[in-house]
Amino acid sequence: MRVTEQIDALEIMGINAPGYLILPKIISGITMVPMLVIISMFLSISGGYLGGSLSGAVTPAEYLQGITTDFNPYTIVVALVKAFVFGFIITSVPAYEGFYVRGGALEVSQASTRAVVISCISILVCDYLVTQLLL
Amino acid sequence: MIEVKDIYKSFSGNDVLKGISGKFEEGVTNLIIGGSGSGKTTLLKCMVGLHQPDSGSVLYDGRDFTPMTYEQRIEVRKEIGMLFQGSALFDSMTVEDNIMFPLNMFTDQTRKEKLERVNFCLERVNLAGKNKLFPAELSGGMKKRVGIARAISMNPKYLFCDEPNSGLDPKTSIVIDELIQELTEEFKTTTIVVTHDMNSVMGIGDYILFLHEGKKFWEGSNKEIAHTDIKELNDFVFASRFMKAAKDKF
Repeated sequence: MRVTEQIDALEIMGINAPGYLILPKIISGITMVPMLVIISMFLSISGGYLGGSLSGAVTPAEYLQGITTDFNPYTIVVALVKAFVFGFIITSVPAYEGFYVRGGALEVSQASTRAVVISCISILVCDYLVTQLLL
Repeated sequence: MIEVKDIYKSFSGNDVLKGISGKFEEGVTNLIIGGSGSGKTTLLKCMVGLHQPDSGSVLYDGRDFTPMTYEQRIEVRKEIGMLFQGSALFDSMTVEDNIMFPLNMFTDQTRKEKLERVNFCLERVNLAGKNKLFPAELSGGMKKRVGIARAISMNPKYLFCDEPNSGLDPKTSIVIDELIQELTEEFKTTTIVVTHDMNSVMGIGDYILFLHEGKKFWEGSNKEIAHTDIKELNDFVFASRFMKAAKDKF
């Protein structure tokens, strides 16, 4: 958007461009990624239950016993904290890179690559840090 | 009226503007002209606050824009309309949504009122009925006209145009120039056009500021520009064979 002067146009109109363009992405990331994690937890557990029961590999009682034995509810908190942090990273880093990119098509593609690389490394580092802090 | 006083601006030690001053009156088309790298776009960006000048001041009807806080600048910017060199239309929005965008952000008009305003602006730039098209479906000239329609949607007191004719054929360029001049006279805006197009200079230049290597070399009107003895200005004005031939003939 900056390359095609659209961000300048927002600023000239008197609109806080970072607030208008970046903030909604970060809010959606930190709310929707934990929601996706919750949905994926529910689907994987219920999918395992249905698959195991219907195929006859395990009985429903055995499955329920298996997933509840030694279950530590605190791991859900850790998963959601990680989802929150990852959601922040995967929205804020690309949004920052996209907002401040200058030049043309080459610089935009370089910024995209940089955004992916920084996001991936940040997620790895934060994954380690959160695990060390919470577990 | 917009007044710039002694504007200096440099980038990484490279002086781009070296003490530019000038007064741009309302209701007339003011042009900032000069060759590539003369500092005209930098001056425009300093005036609208996209660049912060190193020193000097920009006065909007006496209000000094340069020392203003972000919030104070927003109030002034609501009175500014700007046409960008590449039109800067929002790709994901239709023509209607592009023009309605400032109205959505800064007014509490009903949808019907906003739509009426959009249609008025589109009619004014001769694009009535093009509401639902996307920028990718428009020609260069149409994009410029939508850019002008968006710029005037908030009824601005100050209208800035950054090279409105770049990339346009001569006939469309004249249409855009005439439209800018008509709107300036109709709405009594203080209009500043950055250009190096000599057709624009001769056609709509009520007041012209000529920049060369970051300095103001000359100011005057399109009636006076061909009759100066300033070498740098003559080199610029009569750079093309057509202008040279016209000068020799008349």
